[in-house]
Amino acid sequence: MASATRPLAAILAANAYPLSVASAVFIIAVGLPSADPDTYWQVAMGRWMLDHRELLHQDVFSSTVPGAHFGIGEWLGEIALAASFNIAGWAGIAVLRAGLIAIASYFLVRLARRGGTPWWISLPLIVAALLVSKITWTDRPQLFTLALFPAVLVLLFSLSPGFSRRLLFLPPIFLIWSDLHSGYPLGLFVVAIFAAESMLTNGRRGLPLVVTAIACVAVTFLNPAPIDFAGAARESVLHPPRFLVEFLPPDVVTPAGALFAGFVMLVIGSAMLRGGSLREAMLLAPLLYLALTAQRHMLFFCFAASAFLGPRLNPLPRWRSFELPVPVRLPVAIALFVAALGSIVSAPVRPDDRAYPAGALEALRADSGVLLNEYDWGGYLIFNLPERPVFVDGSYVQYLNGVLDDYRALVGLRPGWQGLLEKYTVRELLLQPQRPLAVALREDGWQVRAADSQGRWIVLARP
Amino acid sequence: MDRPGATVTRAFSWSLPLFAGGIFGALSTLATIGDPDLFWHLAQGRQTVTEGLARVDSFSWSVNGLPVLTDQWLGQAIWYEAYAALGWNGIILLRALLVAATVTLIVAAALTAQRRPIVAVVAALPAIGLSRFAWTERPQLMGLLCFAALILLLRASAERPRLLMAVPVLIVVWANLHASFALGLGVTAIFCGELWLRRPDARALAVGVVAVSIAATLLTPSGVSIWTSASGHFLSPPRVIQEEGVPDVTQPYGMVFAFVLLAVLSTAMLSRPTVLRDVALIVPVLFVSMTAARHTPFFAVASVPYLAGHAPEAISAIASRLGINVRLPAFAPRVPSLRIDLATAAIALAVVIAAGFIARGEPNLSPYPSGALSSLPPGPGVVNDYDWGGFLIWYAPATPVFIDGRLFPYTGDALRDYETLVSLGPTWRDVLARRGARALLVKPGSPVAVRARDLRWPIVTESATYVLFIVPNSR
Repeated sequence: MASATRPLAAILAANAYPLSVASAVFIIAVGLPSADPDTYWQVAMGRWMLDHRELLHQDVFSSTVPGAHFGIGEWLGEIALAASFNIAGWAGIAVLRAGLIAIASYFLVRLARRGGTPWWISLPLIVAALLVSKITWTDRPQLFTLALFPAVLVLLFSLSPGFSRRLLFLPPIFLIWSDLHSGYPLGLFVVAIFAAESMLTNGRRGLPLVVTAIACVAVTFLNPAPIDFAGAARESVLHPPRFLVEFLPPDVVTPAGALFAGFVMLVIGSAMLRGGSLREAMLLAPLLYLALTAQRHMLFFCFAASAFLGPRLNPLPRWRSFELPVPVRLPVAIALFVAALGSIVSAPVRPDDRAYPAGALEALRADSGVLLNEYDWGGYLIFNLPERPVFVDGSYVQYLNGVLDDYRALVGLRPGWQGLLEKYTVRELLLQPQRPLAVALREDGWQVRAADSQGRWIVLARP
Repeated sequence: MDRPGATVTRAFSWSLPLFAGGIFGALSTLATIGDPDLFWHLAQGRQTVTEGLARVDSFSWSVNGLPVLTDQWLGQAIWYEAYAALGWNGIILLRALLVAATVTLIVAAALTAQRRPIVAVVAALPAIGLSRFAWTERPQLMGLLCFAALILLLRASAERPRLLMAVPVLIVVWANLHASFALGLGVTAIFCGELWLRRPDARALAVGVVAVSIAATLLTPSGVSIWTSASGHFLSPPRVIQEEGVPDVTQPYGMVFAFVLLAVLSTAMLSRPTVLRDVALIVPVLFVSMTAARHTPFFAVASVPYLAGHAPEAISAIASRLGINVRLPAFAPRVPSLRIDLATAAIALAVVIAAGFIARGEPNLSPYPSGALSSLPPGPGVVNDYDWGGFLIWYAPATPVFIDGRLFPYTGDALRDYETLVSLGPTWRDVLARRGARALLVKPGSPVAVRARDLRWPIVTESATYVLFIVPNSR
C-alpha cells in the first residue's frame, strides 16, 4: 500500500503546477458564454449526423449551393460538440471547451517547465501564450487541435533516441485527430521535424521515430475523406481567406499581437545572446512563418517557443530554490481542481447572442422565398431558423464556387448587383443597415419588415 | 576569419558598396514614377519653396484653413527642387541617387561584419530587395537612407564611441525630412543604453548623445508637434491604407520580410552567441517593422550586418549535419587604394546620372483620372476618390480636393464623411447636402458610383478608371 501511494504522491507533486494552472484556466474558460458564429453551424452539422446516423457529405442548409458536395472534415469534432449540446445544452459545450483548453494549459505548463524552469519564469510565458491562444477559444473543433498540439509536443520532447514505448501513442492520436479537426497536418509536420532532426543528430537511432512518423501519416488516411482534410489545411495556409478576422496577419498593435511579437523578440533576442539548437531552428522557423500567415496560428509558435524559452531564460541558478514546497503546492492544486469541478455549475446555459439578429427570427419564420443574409449570421440562422435556407454562412468553402463573390458584390453594391438579385431570386434581406445594398434597396422601396432599435440589423422584403 | 565586431578602418574599401549602389541606383530608373503621394508632396514642396512654409491647408475644400503637418518640409522641398531643375527626370534621378546611397550604406554595413565581399553582398541582397518596396518618390525614401546611415554609424561607433557625436547631426536632418526619425532616435537611445552598460568611460558620451539627439528633433518648424505624425503612425497606423496594413507574408514583399526574419531566427540558433549591441540594433526594430508593411525594410536593413557576420556559420552548421563539407576560402585582404574608391564613386555616380537622364521621365498616369481634368468644375464641391487627391492637387489646382493622401488633416469629420459617401452609408445623402457637393469623381466600381448610375445622375465623363457625376439639385 505504501509503495503504491508513494509514486502517486510523487506524481501528484510533480504535476501540481500544471494541474493548478489547468484548473484555474478551466474555471475561467467554463464561465465564458458561447459567442462564435461558427459554433452554430458546427453544432447543427453534428446534430444532423447524430440524427441521421450518417456523415454529412453535402450541403443541406443553404439556398445557394443545395446538395453541393463538401468536405466532411471535422465530422468527429462536430459530433462531439453536438453530443455535448444534446447532453447539457450550451453548458455542455462550455464544459467541453473548458476541458480542452485546460488540457492545452496542462501540456503548455509541461512545455514551459522543460529543463526545470522555475515557476516564476515559466508562469509569465504560460499566461502570455494562453492569452495569445484566446483567439481560438471558440466552440469549434479547432479546440481539439489546441489541446492536441501541445500534448504531441510534450510527447515528442520526452522521447529519447531509439525506440520508446511512447512512440506507440502517436499513431492513435493522429487517427483521432484527423477526424476531429483539419489542423492535424500541423501535428504531422511537427512529428516529421522531430524525426528529421533525430535522424540528423542520432543517425540510425532516429529510425524508430521516422517509422512512427510514416505510420502517423498512414493512419490519417483512414478517415472518411483524407484528401478533403489535407486540401482544406493547405488552402488555409497558402491562401488564407483574409475576409475572416482570424485569418488576418498578426497585428502587433493589438494585445494578442503584441504578446506574439514579444515571443518572437524574446526568442530571437535570447537566441542571439545564448544560442539555440538545430531542433529549435527546425521547429520554430516554420511555425513562425505559419504564425505570420494568420493570427489564428500565432499560438502554435508561442506554445512551441515556451518549450525553449524557459530553459534559456533561466540564467539565475541561485534563485532556483525559490520554489513552492510540495506541502503547499499539492493542496493548492487539489483545491483548484475541486474548484474547477465545482465551477461546472457556473457554465452558461445560454449563448451570448447579442451580436446576432435574435429579434429578427419571428419576422423571418414565415418562408418568403430566398433570404440574403449577413455572412456572419448564417450559422446562427442555420441553428435557430432551420426552415429558412441561408444564402451564405461561415462554412465558407462550399461557397467559393462564385457564391461568395456574388454575395460580396451584392451587399457591397458592386456593378451588376441588380442582375445578381434576380439571378438568386432574392426576396428578403437580413443585413446590417449600413450595408450599401440595404441603403439602396430602402431607397428603392423595399419594405422594412423588422429593424433593430439599436441599428444592428434590418429585414427588408421585396415590395 | 570572420570579424563580426570589426569596424570601418583604413582597411575598409568603399569600392564594392559604391559599385553595388551604382548598379541598383541605375536599375531603379527602370521603374516609372507615379506614386499617389508624389504629387501632393511636390505641391507642398513648391508651396514651401515659392511661398514659404504653409501651416494650414490650402489644397482642399473640406479642411481648408485647418492646420496641416509640416514634418516633411525639407524632403518635399528637395523633391520639388529636383523637379524644378530637371522635370520628371529630376525626380527619377533623385530617386536613383537615394537608392544608390541607401544600397551603398547597406553593403558597407555588411562589410563591417564580413570581409568576404561576396558573402557581404549576398547577406545584403534580401534587405536591398525589400527596400525595393520603399523606392518611392517620397520623403520616406530619405528616411530609409538616414536609417541605413544610422546603422552603419552605430556599428562603426561600437569600437570608436566618439563617432556617436555625428548622430545628433543625422537626427536633426532626418527630423526635417521624414517622421521615421523617431525610429532612429529610439534605436540610438537603446544603443547608447548598451554602451552605458558596457563602457563606464563612455557613459557621459552616451547620455549626451541621447539628450542632444532628443533636443535635435525639436529643431524643426513643427517644434514639439513633430512627434504627432510619428506617434500617430506608430501607435495607431491607419490600416485602411495599404502600406500601413499589417505585413502580409503571402505578398511578395512579405515573403522577403519573412525570409529575413526566419534567416535571423535560424542564424541566432545555429551560430555562436553574439553581443548585446547586436540584439539592441535588431530586436526593437523588428517590433517596429511588424507594425506596418511600410516599416518592413527597416528590420531587413538593421539585420544585414548580423546576417553577414553570422549566417555563414549557421549554414556551415546545417551543412555539417547533412555531411556536406562547406568551407569558405580563407580571405586574403587586398583592399583597393583610395584612388580606386574615388574612381568607383565617379563611375557609379556617372552611371546613375546617365540612367536618370535616359529613363522615361513621364509619370505613369494610367491609374488616375487624367481624362476628367478638362471637365472638372473649378472651385469647391468635387468629392474625389482618396487615391486621386494628390494627383488633383498637382494637375487640377483650380479644383480643390475633398480628401487626399495627407490623411491626418482629414482625420475626424472629413474622413468620416468621405467613408460614408463612397461606401454609401445610410446618411450619404445628408452628407452630400451638408457638404454642398456638386460633383463626384470616383471609381466606377465604388458603391456610390453604382448608386449614382442607378439613379441616372448626369455623367460628365467616364472611362474604365473613373466616372465624373454631377450631383443633381446641387448649388
